[in-house]
Amino acid sequence: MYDCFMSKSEQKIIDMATLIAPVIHSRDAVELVRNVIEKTDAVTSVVLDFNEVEFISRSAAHELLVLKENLKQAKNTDIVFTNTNKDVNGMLRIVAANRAVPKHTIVSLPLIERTNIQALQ
Amino acid sequence: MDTLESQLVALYECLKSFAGKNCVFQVDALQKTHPLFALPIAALSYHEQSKRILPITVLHKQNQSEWEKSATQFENLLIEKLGNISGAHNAIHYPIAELVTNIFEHSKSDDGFLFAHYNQDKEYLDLCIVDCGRGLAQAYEEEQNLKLSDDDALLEVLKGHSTKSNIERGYGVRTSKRVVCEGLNGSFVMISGNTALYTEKGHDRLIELPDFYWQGVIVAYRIPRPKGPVEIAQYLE
Repeated sequence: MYDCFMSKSEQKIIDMATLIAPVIHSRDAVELVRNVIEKTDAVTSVVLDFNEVEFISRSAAHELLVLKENLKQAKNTDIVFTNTNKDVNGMLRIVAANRAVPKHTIVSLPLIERTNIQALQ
Repeated sequence: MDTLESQLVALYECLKSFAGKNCVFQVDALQKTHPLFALPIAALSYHEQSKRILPITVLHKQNQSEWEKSATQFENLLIEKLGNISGAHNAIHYPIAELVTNIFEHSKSDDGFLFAHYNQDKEYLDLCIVDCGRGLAQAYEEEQNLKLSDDDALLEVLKGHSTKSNIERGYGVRTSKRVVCEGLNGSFVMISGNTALYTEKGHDRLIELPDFYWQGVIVAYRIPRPKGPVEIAQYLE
């Protein structure tokens, strides 16, 4: 057993459900992960343990993948995701695919009807 | 107030011409209410302790881990209400996660409000998410120097135009609306300033709300209890 701050030599293991919550909602939650990593010296590998994490939002998944890339580039630190369930895997894959082949997110809309609240009353 | 649309009308009737004036909401005689009607009023009176009227969920930005856990509890209660339906948990988590995170990333508000009601007889879930922050038009103006009306700001959100300058952002509202309306056959309303975007059965309408102004954003949606497995991946783009 380990808690969310336990280190193993140069590897750090972070229990995501304990550090954040069983559902990871926001980009800001990833800041908690970044803070834990930055408080530890000489870490070359970080294991994010998703045991007990039920779901991760698209935004948080995106922020985690950005953190993973940035840490690799800036400090040559690897981030590994472990014990991810099917839903967390799925979300990470969707976002990773989108990062690999970015879609233009701004879509054109069909003509939208405009009305006044009085028309509904 | 049997439809989301009628809840929107009731909210409008209640708050029109309110414009920040001191008001007393007399709710003692209310026997039944709905999230889109009740939560904005509860949010307006939230800081007056003695006038709290509803068991709403309030998320505070300052304590990141605490609000993530509160939101998790809230969502898991709703999932329990819907029963064991494959994939339904993702359809509950996804829009709430994206819409709540928008509050703290974009609204400049320190509080987010959640309230839901499950109608057991008619088997639908009504859910509302509210902030009293800067609203959409002001966010575009402050972040991107774009001067937009409330209706145009809503359209930009729907198009996926993020106030943050990052091509990979801007999916949250559009994909949440798709999960609710296309994935769950629900209806969806988003209000900011003096305009509401209302979507039902694949039909979007922008509704002008004269003499009404919501400082912040209100999102509400209704989803019927799914009758079979739900798969949201196709709506996440």
